[in-house]
Amino acid sequence: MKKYALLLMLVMGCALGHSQCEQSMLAADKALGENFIAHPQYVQGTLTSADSLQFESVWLANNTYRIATSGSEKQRVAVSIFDQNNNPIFDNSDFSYAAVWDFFVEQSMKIRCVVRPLAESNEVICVTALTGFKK
Amino acid sequence: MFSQSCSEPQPAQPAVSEFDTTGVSTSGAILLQGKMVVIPPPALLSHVIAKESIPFETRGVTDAGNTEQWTSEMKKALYLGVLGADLSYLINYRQSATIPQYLASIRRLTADLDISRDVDSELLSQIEAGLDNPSSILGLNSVFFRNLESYLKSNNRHDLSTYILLGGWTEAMHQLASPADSITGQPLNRLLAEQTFSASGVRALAESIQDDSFTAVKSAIIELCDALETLEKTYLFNEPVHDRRQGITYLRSKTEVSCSDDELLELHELIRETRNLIVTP
Repeated sequence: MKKYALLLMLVMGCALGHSQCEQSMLAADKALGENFIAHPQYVQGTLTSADSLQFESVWLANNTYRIATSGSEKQRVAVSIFDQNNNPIFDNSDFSYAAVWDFFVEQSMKIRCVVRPLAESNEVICVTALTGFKK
Repeated sequence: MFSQSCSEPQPAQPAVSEFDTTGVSTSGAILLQGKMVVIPPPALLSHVIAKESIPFETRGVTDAGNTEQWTSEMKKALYLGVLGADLSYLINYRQSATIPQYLASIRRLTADLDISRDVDSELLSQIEAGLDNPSSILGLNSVFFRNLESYLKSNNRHDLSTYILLGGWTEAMHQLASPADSITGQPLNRLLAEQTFSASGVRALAESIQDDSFTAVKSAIIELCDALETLEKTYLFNEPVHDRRQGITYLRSKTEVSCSDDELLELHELIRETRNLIVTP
């Protein structure tokens, strides 16, 4: 009986995680807005505040890029961006943990983006980060 | 402004360190994707090509009517990536009359790969219905391929997802190279050379596939990445400028990539060979 209860909890946990990630994707998609074309690749994961997602990308010159996360006032998401030499170039903690930020790229460059939820120690959050470029 | 040259030798570049991608997860207990490599999407590359006022090239796209000849999943997925890049190119050049053929082929291939029920094929219908408004359908096209990526990742079909990305990237490279009957002075040369920044990511994607049937394409892609990675490049960090009110940061670092005519010719040849391997049954 205990085994079945555990199995049920596991299935329910997966379902909740799945649903939370769908909501997370919807929130990030809404934040990206209609003036930006979504990049087909994105990062998403169920994390505690001790974990992070990261991606590397190449941003091409003379384009405006947007990073949109599933963060909100209630559930903030930290975003840090570094250049190819690990120089910090953006940290949304300087901007009230904005869920959306734009970047105009004067010359093509490689960036690394690290995304992390700000959660209570054991809380598990599904976080999504989308990038897009301006039409 | 770019201070980039594709024909003149550049001074020696400072050492450029690779990203430190270790130690990101501190708990090690959860599902991280670790380092994810994002390569420039074909939609962006074709958008940039169109912005350069380069005339439309019919040879920039492949024949959309050839889907029946693909028998393996690998070939179908690579070709699906090619067609996605072609669709972006056609949308950016407002080739409305041709687009339905490509949408039909994409539908056929997603059905053949048994993924059509699981991705929102309604998006393809919306693209078809919105041919009068290219800027809106470019967005739909990207969302379709994002949904595809999402479905394939969540169903552990990473190989298919990678083939689609690599097929799309190779076709976008072909579109960057195709106007250059004469190498010198082509406005897209700079953009082509800048793909040096994508090369390590593309290589990582290609190397992640262990399927023997992919060996020839993989070798060709890696050779192309090798040629891109050997281009000389310099990078000079400049402090970014943040505009809090507008929510925008201006990235002002300086980048230069240099490549000689010989290097450009080699890139064109390698792109042609790689693409031929993908679009030939």
